[in-house]
Amino acid sequence: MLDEKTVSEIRKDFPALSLKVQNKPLIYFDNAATTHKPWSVIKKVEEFYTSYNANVHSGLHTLSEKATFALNQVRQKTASFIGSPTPEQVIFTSGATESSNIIASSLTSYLQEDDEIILSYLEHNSQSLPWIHLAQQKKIKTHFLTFDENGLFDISIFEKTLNSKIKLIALTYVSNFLGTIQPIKTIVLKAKKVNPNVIIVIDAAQAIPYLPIDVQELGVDFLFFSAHKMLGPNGVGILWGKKHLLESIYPHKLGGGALERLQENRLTLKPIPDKFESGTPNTEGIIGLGAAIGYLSQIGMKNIQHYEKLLNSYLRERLKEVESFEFVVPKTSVSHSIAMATGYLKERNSHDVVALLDSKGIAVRSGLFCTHLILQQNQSIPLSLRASLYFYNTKEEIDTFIKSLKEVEKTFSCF
Amino acid sequence: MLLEVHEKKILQKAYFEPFHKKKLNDNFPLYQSSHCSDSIRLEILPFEKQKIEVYFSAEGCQLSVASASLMCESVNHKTVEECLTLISQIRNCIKKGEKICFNQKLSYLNLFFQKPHRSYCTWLAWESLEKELYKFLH
Repeated sequence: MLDEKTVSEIRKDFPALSLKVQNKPLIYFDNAATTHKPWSVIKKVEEFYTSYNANVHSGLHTLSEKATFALNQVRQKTASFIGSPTPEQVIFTSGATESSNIIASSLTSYLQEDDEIILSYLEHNSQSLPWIHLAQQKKIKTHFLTFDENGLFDISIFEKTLNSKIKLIALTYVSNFLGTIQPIKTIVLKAKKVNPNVIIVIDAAQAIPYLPIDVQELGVDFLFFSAHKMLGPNGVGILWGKKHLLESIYPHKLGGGALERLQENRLTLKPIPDKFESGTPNTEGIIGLGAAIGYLSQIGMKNIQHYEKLLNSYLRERLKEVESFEFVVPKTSVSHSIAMATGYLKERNSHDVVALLDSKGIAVRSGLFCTHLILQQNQSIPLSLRASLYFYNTKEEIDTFIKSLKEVEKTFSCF
Repeated sequence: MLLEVHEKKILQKAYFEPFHKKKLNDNFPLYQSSHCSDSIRLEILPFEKQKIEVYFSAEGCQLSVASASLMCESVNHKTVEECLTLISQIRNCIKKGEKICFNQKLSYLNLFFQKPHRSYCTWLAWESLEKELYKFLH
């Protein structure tokens, strides 16, 4: 179980957490954008370059074999982490954005003019833009799922939208804007009941750092996420898919590593995952992801989830003391959200608030967080302030954040 | 923030007592930042001998308002050509990563032009004015 004592020990594993910013100890509440890295991840990346740097796959020499072995071990580790039946269903990509684009471009021929798809107003641009672009090209009708006063997808509206023409549903598991945990399992059950062949694509970029995930239990067809939001290096992502789907779709790119046979002008591609991984992979990043998964597993995702709930509850309670702070969705419950609070100070521009908090060593984010669709459901949502916490954050940091926010309320210049 | 006391005072004045800020209605085109919620409307009025005055209304962060105020002050009673030259000089500085050193008041914006995300807030007024000046010429 994580408690203040163990968290204080855990913090020593993260060198960036002892940084000073603007001569103040850093309080890092921008974890939804990216997380800091523990020494175990940093050292694994360093170890790759210093001990077995080589290109993977076809090399027969010792270093290449060692690098290939390490990469495949991470594939196995990732498969176990998300409950994948086989490691081959885990595809290494450059991030969540590339993963989403791979699925959209690979399913181009699957979707036809009269088909319909479902997205939501809470989708990050990395999930929404590839599908909106495809829908525009193919004249596909797009339904947008709304969220209710709790920040959760409106299931009754979803049920009414379902019909046999819906060929694809692409949704986020945890909203990067509101932090709300969406009822994906229920959505999958209801959708598959109406059309067992509907393809369900889940963006788990914000879910994977906080929730234990089992792709088989969720029943989704595709799921993707990024390494950097779960303590891993930048530039690495995971695309998971059901085996028959991955086998049936054509990869979005071709090149070295994907070719099985070339006879005259006839290409035969390697089986999954190789056919999707043309080109030299980000081996050091993938190996770093392996270390990140190891670190998270050691703490235990259930422990992380439990501690996050405590932080979330404390953060939301204390934010009520900040007179001019308004939550974007006030009714969000602690049990249906990760440790994230999104809101704004009345009459204040959130960029200015962030600049003032930065002068106090506090890192939070302002803006629309690449979720521009949200304005189509509610145009009155202003530029917002997002505080997103992780298991290395503490109640003391929340106290300082609240104290600083109260000071910012009374400070009228960010210069 | 890292600003010196004097620079801070200039920028605070530009935000709290903006130069030539007034309410402009929908007849004036709205320029919006593609990066955040900042927006601005501009009115160009002829002064004497081909010189102009520029007024603005703005919604957004303090940097965008302060930048618009300093802009209106800097181009006040200048000709359109002089204004366009000034904008071009600033753009060149930003492109080359150089500091603005040809105008003392505008040099206070240097810190913001160096911050990638805040440069959009600071530049919005200037690029909007450039568009309006070309319209004014024609």
